[in-house]
Amino acid sequence: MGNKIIRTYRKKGCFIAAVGLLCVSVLTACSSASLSNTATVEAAPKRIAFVAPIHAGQQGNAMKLGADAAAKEFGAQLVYIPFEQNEKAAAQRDAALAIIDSGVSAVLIDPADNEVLTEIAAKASEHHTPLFALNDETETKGVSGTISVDNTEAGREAGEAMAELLGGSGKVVIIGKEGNSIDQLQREAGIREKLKQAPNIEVAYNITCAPIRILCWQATKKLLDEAHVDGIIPLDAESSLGVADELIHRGGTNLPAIVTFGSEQEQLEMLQDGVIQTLVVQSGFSTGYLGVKQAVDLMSGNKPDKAIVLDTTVITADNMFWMGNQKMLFPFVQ
Amino acid sequence: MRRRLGGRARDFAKRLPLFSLQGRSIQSVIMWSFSLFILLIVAFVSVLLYNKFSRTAEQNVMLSTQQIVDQVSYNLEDYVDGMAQLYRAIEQNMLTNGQLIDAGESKQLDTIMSSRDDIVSIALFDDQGQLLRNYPALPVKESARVLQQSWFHAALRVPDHLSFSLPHVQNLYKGTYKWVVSMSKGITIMHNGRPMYVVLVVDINFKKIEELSSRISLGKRGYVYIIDEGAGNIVFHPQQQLIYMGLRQESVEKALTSIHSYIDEPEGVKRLNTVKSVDNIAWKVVGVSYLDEIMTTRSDLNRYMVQVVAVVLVLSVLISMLLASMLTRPIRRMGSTMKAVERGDFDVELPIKGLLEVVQLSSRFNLMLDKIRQLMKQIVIEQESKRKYEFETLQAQINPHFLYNTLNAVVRMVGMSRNDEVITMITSLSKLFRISLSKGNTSIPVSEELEHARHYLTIQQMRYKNKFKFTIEADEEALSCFTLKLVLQPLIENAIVHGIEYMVDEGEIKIRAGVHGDQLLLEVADNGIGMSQQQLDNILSDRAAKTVSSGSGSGVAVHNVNDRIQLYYGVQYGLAFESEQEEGTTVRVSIPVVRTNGEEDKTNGEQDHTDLS
Repeated sequence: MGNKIIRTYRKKGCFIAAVGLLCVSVLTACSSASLSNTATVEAAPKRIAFVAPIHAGQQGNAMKLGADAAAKEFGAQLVYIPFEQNEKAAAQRDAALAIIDSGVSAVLIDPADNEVLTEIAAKASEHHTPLFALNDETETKGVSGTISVDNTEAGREAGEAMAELLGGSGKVVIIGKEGNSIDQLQREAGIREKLKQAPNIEVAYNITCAPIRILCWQATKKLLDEAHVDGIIPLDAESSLGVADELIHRGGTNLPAIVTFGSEQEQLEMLQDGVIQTLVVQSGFSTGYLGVKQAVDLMSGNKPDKAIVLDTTVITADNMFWMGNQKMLFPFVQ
Repeated sequence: MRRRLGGRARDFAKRLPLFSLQGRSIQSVIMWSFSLFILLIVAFVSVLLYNKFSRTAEQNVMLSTQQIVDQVSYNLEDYVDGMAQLYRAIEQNMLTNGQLIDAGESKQLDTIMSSRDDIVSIALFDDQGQLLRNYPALPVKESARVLQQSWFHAALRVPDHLSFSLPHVQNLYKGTYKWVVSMSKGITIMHNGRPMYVVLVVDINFKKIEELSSRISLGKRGYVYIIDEGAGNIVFHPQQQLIYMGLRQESVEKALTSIHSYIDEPEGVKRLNTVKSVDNIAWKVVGVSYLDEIMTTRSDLNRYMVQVVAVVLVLSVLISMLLASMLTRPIRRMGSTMKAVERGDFDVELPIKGLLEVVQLSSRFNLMLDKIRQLMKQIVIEQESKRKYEFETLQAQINPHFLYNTLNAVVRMVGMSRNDEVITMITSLSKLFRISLSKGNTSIPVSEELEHARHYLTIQQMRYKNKFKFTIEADEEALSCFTLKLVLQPLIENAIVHGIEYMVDEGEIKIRAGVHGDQLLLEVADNGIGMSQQQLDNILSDRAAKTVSSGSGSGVAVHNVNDRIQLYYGVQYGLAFESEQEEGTTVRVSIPVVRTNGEEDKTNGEQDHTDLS
């Protein structure tokens, strides 16, 4: 009997101990699980690679600034891959392929050319990595979305500005880089469309110069030596600087007016000095920002727009220090 | 009682079909009600705590946002104050006593400039926008258009008042595009003996103010922006370009009019805007924090609460299962014990331990079982004695001794040729046996019992040579009653053997039968030698059964009559003796009035026994 009682008590004790143990273990499991949950959520933000354009310049920096702002806002980690001034398309391609291989959540790229984009897009779709092309609106397989300016509209703005500068009559030359990229073709089309509306303006030549400033300078010299030109529209920043170099070199009055694209600091200087009359500027900050936003949207399950088209702004010496414009032209506080 | 409870439960179940407890085990009822109870309490408490926690969390977020924004604004105010003091120092250095001092003498300016890296440049213009002096001494670029710059306008508009411009890109010198805030003031000085209106502008680097603001983050995504209280222009915003591009909106108008905080909802995201003015520069700091981050805290809390409730539920189910099984274990044990009893095993016993009710119930059960055991034992004993008495009755029916004596007397009478008496005796004997057999019935009508007594007395009278005479009286009513058979014969034998036999005179035996109320009384009275008080006391006691039996069989027979009657009709019936020495003895047999032979069913069973004997 006594034995039995002891046994029952021991049994009861075991019972209570077991239940207590169960309580403790379940509670700790619960709390630690929730802790580790939050820890993992915080430990692994989405990594988004941003492959900068080659010859980035001011525009590239502005894009990085925008991308940084978006990454901070949406809680992503930005992996920025910049290039030296002398690096070529191949370097961009290799770096982009490497970063896709290293495993990132999404890739933003401002491709040097179409071949690079095609190759990288193939790699990205192989890895199921979303790829966003910046400043490139070509429809390439494997690209999840594009963020670019409406180059045709930018061309129209440039054409309109030129028409105004010339007062409706004169001879305009369009100068572009060698190897007509789609951007340039669209810009040219926009320019021609607007200039056609001014019947007295003659769009004379379409000169291409190699992608080095000095070659554009030489081409411009040749052009100006041969004939009188009222206005020149270089299709990109690099060639516009070459053209401006020739005009500065020539000096004097009766120089052709320059309407061009870009917001490089040198261009802005020339704008103030009156060498360049008008700049059609795109906001690099917005491009970078929207690129990251698109990537984050896609990763969080929303369907982002396939193509985002940004507006451009026409900048002259008069309005360059306006509130809205100076932030776009001088994005960095220094 | 059980039926009434059951009925109530049924009514209850009809009204609340979900809560029908009928047919459910106590264990499950305890388990579920206990679990449900705990769950309800936990749910209630967690809802309360959840509300409290989330409200506190929200308040904390709001409070900390307000504090951060206040701090930014204080820092900004301090910085601006410092800059204003610096401006005064520079002004004093350049324009001592309202005179323009030569550039070479302003050595203190060098000190100020080298100690403060956030001063970009100092410049003094006349009211036509012509540069009078500047530091560092750089040529103002041609395209600068000083007259059109906002700081110049501000200085002209309100003379002798220090005004701060919005941050802008410095547009004075070539090649540097620094973001600055211009402090400017229009001052009248004496120059070459003539009063002259000049504008002193000190450009301070905006970087410092930007850092003050951009480093602040409210939550993960929240930020701080600054607007100008005059026109609502954005002074600083981490995404200023997006606003200029129209890709992003801030509710500036609301911020201008608000004093503390408000909630806006651009692009469907709720945000808390906390506002604080920087008085000395007329700017406003606006802190934006995303409410969904607070909601995230809330949903974290929510998830945690759900986990806790789930765990508690599991635990409570487990604990209540244990509890229920612990509570119902004694009941189940009792059930199995009862089953054992049902099977006929009466030697079981419930352990007296556990809860109070269980102990009480167990001891009651044990007591009950004890009683049953006792009763069963008693029944066994009674059955045994019944058999014994029946056997003895059978023996009495054919008492060989009596038969031998009687037949001896008959032989004697035959020898004496007393044929009439022989005939009477044999007839009586045969009738005696017929009645005593009486088809094996245990009870017979009183008339037959009296008849039996009469035949017996007749035979004995002859045997004892008319040593006594007898009378038999009976009420009409009593004759039809039933009685156990052979009740009177042992009494008569007793009266003859102990009362009459030793008498000198002729004895007399009176037999009477009558109904008194609900009792039938049979009486055997003799006028024999009677009994002493001690004999009288002993005659029906248990001891008598043994002591008397050693003397003569009739004592035992009387005792047996009493036992048979009590066994058959109950203990309140039986024999009563009344005796006076030398006067005689009266024995009264009391039995209930029975009008029918209630033993028809038993007859066959009894018959079997009779046949067997």
